[in-house]
Amino acid sequence: MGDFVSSAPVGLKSVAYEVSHSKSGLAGIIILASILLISMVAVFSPENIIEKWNDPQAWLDKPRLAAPEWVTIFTGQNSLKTVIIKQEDFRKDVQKVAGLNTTKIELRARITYNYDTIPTEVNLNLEIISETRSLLTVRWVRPDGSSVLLLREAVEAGQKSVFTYRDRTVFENVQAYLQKLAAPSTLSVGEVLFSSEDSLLKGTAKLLKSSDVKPSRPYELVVEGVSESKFFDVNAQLNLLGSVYGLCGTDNMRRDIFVGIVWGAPIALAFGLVAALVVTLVQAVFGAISGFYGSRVDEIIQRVTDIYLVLPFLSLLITIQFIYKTTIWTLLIAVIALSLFGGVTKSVRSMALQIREEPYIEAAKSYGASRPRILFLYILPRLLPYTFANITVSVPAYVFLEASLSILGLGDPALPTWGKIISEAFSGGAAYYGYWWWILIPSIFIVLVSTAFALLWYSLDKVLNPRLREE
Amino acid sequence: MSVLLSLKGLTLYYRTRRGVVKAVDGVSFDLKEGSCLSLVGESGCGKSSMAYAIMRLLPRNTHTYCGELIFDGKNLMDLTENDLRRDFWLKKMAMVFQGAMNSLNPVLNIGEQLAEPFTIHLGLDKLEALKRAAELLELVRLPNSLLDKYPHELSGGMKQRVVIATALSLRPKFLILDEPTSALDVITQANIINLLKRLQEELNLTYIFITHDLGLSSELSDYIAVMYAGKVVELGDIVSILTAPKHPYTQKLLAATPKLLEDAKLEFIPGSPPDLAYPPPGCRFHPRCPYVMDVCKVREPEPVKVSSEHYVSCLLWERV
Ligand SMILES: Nc1ncnc2c1ncn2[C@@H]1O[C@H](COP(=O)(O)OP(=O)(O)OP(=O)(O)O)[C@@H](O)[C@H]1O
Ligand SMILES: [Mg+2]
Repeated sequence: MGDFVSSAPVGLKSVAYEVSHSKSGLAGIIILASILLISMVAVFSPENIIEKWNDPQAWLDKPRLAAPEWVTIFTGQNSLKTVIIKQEDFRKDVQKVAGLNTTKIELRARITYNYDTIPTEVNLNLEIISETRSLLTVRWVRPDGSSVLLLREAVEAGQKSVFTYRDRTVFENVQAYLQKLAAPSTLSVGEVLFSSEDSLLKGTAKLLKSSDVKPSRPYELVVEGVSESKFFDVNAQLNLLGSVYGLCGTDNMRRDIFVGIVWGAPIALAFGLVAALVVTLVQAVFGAISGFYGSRVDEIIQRVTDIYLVLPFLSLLITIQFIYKTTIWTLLIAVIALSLFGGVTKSVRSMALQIREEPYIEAAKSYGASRPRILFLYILPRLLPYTFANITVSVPAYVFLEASLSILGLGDPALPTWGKIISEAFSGGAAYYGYWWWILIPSIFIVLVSTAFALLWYSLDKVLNPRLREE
Repeated sequence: MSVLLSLKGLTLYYRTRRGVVKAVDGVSFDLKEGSCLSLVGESGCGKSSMAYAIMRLLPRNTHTYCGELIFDGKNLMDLTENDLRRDFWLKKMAMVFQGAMNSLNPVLNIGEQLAEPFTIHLGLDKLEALKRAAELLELVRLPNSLLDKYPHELSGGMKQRVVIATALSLRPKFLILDEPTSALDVITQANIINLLKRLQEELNLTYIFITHDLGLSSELSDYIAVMYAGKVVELGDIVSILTAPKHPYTQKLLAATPKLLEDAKLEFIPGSPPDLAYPPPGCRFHPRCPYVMDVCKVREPEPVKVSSEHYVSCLLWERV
């Protein structure tokens, strides 16, 4: 402890130099810089992710519970990543039927499908602009030319989403198709759509790839609308969702976990850094005042510290969160308020007691320096190395604290924090069903932040602690 | 020449676990403006304590602090610490502490260090204060390049000069130098002494020069005060003290001073200085005095004038 009171100059420049030239310090800086960079993306992004994060409608074009894309490197499968056929990628054919006053619109999407797995979902989003009801037909054409009728019904104008795997009408139409084929009716919609008729007949669904026919041909989705309306238009978007998605996969609300990680980074860093910085500095200042002023002030500060030290910190915090369900920033204030005095106050006091007896303090007094000046210009700078080392060790502790509270369900109700992603993974049964990415990826980031600060502390310790200096 | 500093019965006791340490015990003398008084004595006899008592820079565990302390016509005892800070320290009186090596703030560079008094007392801005700091360096013959160096980058002699410069920043007329040259080599010592001599002439300074080196004190001083166990036992002009010391302790001290080119065996004083918490009754030197008489063990000697500027506190001389 006393070892931190170095008499060498504690210029931050020289400390920074030495830390960045040690291996562990460099590693810590690199990790931190990367996380900081990620945070910058979130901080400067114009998107309102926070709102989007809590809106289930905003994530419909993402697969549910998809593993990260890079798992395909290990499985060796060419798994389907998300394929989205946008409105402008549909081929549109508009026909006016002469005399009859009807308009017929045909939309055609072509999907070259050479993946090893069938999509987990095939979703069609339709937009129908019409004065009257219109007749809508949706057909699915396989590369071998065989086709399945998915929908034929009169629909109102407006938005219409067809989750083909879960849609009742689609299901009935597919059942009718299987009956006509005389194929077993136990096959799922997805299997029916992506298998050749031969294999359906045998009752075994075998994926038909575009390249299985010569020459290679795509799958086609054909949407046909007929209406008598004076103006009539149909637009469509087709989403084929796979079992893998993005860098970090998705959760049970189809949210991209990578987005959660990126937006959670500045929150974790800000919470950890602000808490560590403010708590350590406040405690250090109180400790220095206590040691330097002595007598009555010392007595009061030390007794208050004793009280703070026996306060059940976590229990109080949990109670506060449980009752008030505060935001993370209110939580931060509560954390600071509950740690105004503590271990740092005690150790800094003992260092200040030692420093105040040094001749240069006496000399400063004889120059007429006031007590606050001596405290802030002569004593506190000497304590900075210790204080900085303490900040670096306590950052991870506060990142963990936020995560623990989130896992207990006591975190911020709105913000996507790393702890909250893990907490949702638990309630979503990720551990039970093996959605490992949902738990592992945010955990790795929490550990990464802790490791970075631990590495920094390790090298700081080597610089500031004379006994560890390797000369 | 007028009297700048006048002490009457100046006393400073410390409270310690062992009891009350009587570090300065009723010291009286006058100091003329522009002169230099050397305070000599064995280690632990209360020289530094005397300096603190004169400056009124008291440690926390001060037990008793009393007497008359008249500086420049004012009794410092009547003033508050704030008065001293505002009007006296650095402006009229300053002190160079024992162990200059440790008197510099390790986290400030020399420029900032020297600028401190100007910032504190004159409220100068940083640039202006630094300019004055540069002038101070010139005053003590140090190069300007030291301004942005840190104390640990300086040699002992340089640090000592910086400390002297700081003490002189606001041009006080009175300076207490507490062993400014111990821990320095002889050449550097000589340089510092020359610097002090020059500064005294240039700035018309009055010094109290604390040392345990009688030889060194003769270089600079007009007067010598010999301290023993918290009391001044002999005080006089330098010639009388060096050539005709009256107190047995002074005689022993002089005999114990090594002289170049003389093959005489060094004498030492038998016994050790007394514990200032429990000093012996009567004359404090009596347990070690070769001329001890029965009366010495019970009666405290009073200062006796032996010549115009020479006083001695010894019962041997009281009887004469
Ligand atoms: N703050 C203090 N509290 C208690 N005792 C003290 C304190 N300062 C000094 N003393 C004691 O007072 C006595 C005189 O100390 P002082 O430092 O004045 O001696 P000194 O003559 O300057 O010695 P040196 O030549 O070693 O510097 C010593 O016995 C010392 O132990
Ligand atoms: Mg001393």
